Amino acid sequence: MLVQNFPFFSIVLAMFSGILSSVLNGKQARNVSLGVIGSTIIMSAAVFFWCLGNGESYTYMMGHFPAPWGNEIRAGVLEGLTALLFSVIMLLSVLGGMRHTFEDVEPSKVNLFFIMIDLMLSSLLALIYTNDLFTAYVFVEINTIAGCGLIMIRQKGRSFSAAIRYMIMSQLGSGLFLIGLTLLYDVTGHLLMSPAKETVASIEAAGRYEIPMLVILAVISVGLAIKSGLYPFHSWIPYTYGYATPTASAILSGLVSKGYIFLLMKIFYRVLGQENVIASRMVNVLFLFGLAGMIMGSVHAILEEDTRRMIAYSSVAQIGYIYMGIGLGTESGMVAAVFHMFTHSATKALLFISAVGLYEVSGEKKDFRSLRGAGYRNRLAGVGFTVGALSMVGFPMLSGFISKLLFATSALQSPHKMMLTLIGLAVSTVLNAIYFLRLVITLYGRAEQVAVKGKQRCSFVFGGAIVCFILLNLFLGLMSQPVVRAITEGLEMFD
Amino acid sequence: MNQILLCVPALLPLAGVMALLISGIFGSRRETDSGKDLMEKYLFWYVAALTLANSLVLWRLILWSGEGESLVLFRLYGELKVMFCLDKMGKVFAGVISVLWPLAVLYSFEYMKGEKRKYTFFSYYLMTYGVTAGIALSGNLMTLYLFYELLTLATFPLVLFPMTKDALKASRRYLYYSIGGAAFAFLGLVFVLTFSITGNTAFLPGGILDLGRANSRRNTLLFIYLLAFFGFGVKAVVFPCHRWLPLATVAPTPVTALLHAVAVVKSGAFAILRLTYFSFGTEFLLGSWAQWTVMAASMVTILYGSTMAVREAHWKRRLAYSTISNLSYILLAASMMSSLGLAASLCHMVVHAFMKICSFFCAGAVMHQTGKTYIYELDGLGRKMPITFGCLTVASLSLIGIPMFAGFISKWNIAGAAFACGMEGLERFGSWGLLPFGAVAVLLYSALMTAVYMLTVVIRGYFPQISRQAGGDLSRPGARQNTPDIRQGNLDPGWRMLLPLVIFAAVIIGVGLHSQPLTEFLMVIGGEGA
Repeated sequence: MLVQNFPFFSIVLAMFSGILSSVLNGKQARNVSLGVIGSTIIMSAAVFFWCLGNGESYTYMMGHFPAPWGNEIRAGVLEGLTALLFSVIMLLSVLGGMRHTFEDVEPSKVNLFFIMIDLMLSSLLALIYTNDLFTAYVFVEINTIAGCGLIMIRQKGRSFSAAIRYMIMSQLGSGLFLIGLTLLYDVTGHLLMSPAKETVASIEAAGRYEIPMLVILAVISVGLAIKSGLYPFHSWIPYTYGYATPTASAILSGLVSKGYIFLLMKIFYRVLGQENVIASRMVNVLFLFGLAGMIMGSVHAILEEDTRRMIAYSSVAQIGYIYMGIGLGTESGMVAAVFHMFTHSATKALLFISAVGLYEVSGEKKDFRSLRGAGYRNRLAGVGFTVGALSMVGFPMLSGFISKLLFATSALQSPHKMMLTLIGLAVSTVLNAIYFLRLVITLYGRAEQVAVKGKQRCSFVFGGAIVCFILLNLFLGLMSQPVVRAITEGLEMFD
Repeated sequence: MNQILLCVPALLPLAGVMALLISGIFGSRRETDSGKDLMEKYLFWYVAALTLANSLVLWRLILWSGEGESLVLFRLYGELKVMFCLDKMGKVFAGVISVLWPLAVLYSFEYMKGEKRKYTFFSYYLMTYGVTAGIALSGNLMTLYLFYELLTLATFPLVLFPMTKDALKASRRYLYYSIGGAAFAFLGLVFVLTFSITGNTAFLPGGILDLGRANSRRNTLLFIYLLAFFGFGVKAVVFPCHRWLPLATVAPTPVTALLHAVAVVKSGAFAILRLTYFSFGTEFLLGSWAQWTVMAASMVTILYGSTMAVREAHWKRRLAYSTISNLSYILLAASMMSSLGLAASLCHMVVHAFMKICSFFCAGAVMHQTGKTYIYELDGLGRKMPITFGCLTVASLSLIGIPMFAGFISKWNIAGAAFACGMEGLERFGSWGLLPFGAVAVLLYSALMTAVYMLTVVIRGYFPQISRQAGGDLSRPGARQNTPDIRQGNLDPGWRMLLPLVIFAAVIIGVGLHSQPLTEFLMVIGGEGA
């Protein structure tokens, strides 16, 4: 089937378009990027619906070398859905931040920016689709490099130090991940996920290598947790998300951290075995860190004055939600975590992009108080920000509510963690409300006369991106059932 | 036909507001003076027509809608449907708001004359009508929760409306409290959904908990009930969550009167009634530690509210404290978990709506005509504004609970319910049963305090204190330096303000003299609910 080739096509297409863009100028590179992302959307949708229709996943052999030696790609419902949503959000983020990209980046380097976008897309898709641990590692590194490039390309202010922070923390995470892989290879002798899982199962059944297996699990979890910004390892987040160019912030916070979480879930299910992970109590650690992140991220956000850093700290809290869902250690908790991944991608990208629209009309100051009345000056951005904020607070009809609902109902199934989860959810909602709604009130407060430079009216592309983001949020909030069903099916296919 | 009509009261105002806001965006570009006048007139008729139409639809539903008719608008997730259904208790709440809203709109047109940004004000005022109607009509806890959250969103711009620093602070606190409360109420929603016998969150008299499963985790559920009670209690201003209301009085008086004395706070009380009698069910809650906690909390609130009201010199804030204590009358009656208690709490919900909106409108009339906001500035106004102060006197006497006024009826019912609960409680639950008798004592204390804080205003109005009038009061903190000298002659406001006042006063006396139809109807609800 042609559709079965699509995952491979989309990865390679994105990769090679990056190479192509190096000889193009900025505008052309942009068009190439948009074209590639657009075709990725179509291909991912095709993969998703094909898998959904057939009710099965498939592995795709690269170059017809069979299992123990060849490289493999695997696509199922969940992979297709994730790739689809990620590429949609990527497209909207690139479009929404387009004008700023061209302002922030030196004209001669604009094509480099789009090369980074292409590489980012390709590595994200590879993380989603791969069935091979070492391929995963390679693309984790590509992802890190692309991420660094995206941050650093805005050669202003603190973006250098932000990039260095990101680089160091990310490399730490990658290093741990690599160590984990090496140990795993030592123990199992496989790098492909499916045979590795079989070996792990036989090892577990024989009761051998208990401590090495625990170390592998811990090192891989911690490595990927650092890279996705779980609470105690979050120190790089406010810098990278706060000082990068808007598109980069949206992509880094919305997609990149999720890519690592997705990889972690995949490793849990397809290599280490979810039941072993639960039995090892590693989930409890993730649960506690997640819970701590939910609270502390929001507390940091409340103390923050700089709008974008505030949104960045809110990411820490939301990543905490996702890990808390994983940490519940139940099927429904995992579904909730995946759904929240989607929610957060859609919402956080919306927040970053609309915050930019509000900045533009308020004199580009960092302090959130300077945004007073900005909701009147750029209405669409104001509405977008409000919708995003309400979704994060868990307002019914928006996607955040469904996440919260899924988390709460799944918490009821694990009696020991129930009360902690529920109280954590409620408290973190209150904290979310405090900093997000404070900002919303500021947006609609009385405007003092602000010297506004630049265009007053937002561009058509920007407006379109915001509207699409809002619709995406409403879609996830109102039509969540098919999405949740697809996630459940996809997780079942993982085994 | 009837089914479709069920969603109209909630959606019609929202649709109307959308049209208004869109026209406002395009209309703001051609602002000339004559055009503005024309727009204003047009705005009045538009808002008035929509409000009246909505009230008529509500009454059509109240009078001729069959039991059990329901309309599912859409599904949020699984069994969480947005569903409208008008049962008897919903009819009571819908009836109250459908009477109050048109009159309040009439009043606010006089009050807001000369204010800028009328568009904004009336858009949100109208929107709140739809949302409140949605709360009355909601057929399950999910819908109630949805509209409860929407209510926060629709009303916070009204608190923010004056755009002063105080307003900013007040609206911020209002939002934090409300959204935070909703976060805890959400937990209640999740638990009701999980433990319900019907598999959804629909309201059924007597509750929908699967008692077999619920009793196995009784203490958890009771704790969640408490959280949800205080979560919804934020809007019903229960003691630890009450601090937003006195601040919120910075909003224009029509907002304080209709929303923060009736629509918003009563939505909170209504939600608690729904949660207690129609979701968790009295069978599960009766005699539990949760019941005693809730009862004690509402008693504390009554004591606190009425005491603070006496201390407060700002008129509207004093009335706000009075609202705090009176809302807890409703909750106190509800916490009896009996049919008498439900009937009594609904009775006070209806009656208090009229009394409090009447008092607030009097305060608003005085503010509007003379600019006076503190009680010590009111000397001698009773003679200059005879109709306003006449109505205020009626409302005050009724709030105290003097027989022949409506307030007496509801207080009598509450005390009756408390006695009945205490007698039964003593038999079944030992010394805990003493708590309802304490409630009666609290009621008496609160009546005394009410007499002090309401009658001081009235007395000051009719019998001025010469020494104050001679001078010195302007130097007191908060007194307005620039208020124009009181003009001679009649200061009563225009008919658009007076008509609602007179109607409210008439209703108060009417219900006080002939309360039987109301109480009988409420007893039917009570009989079903518990």
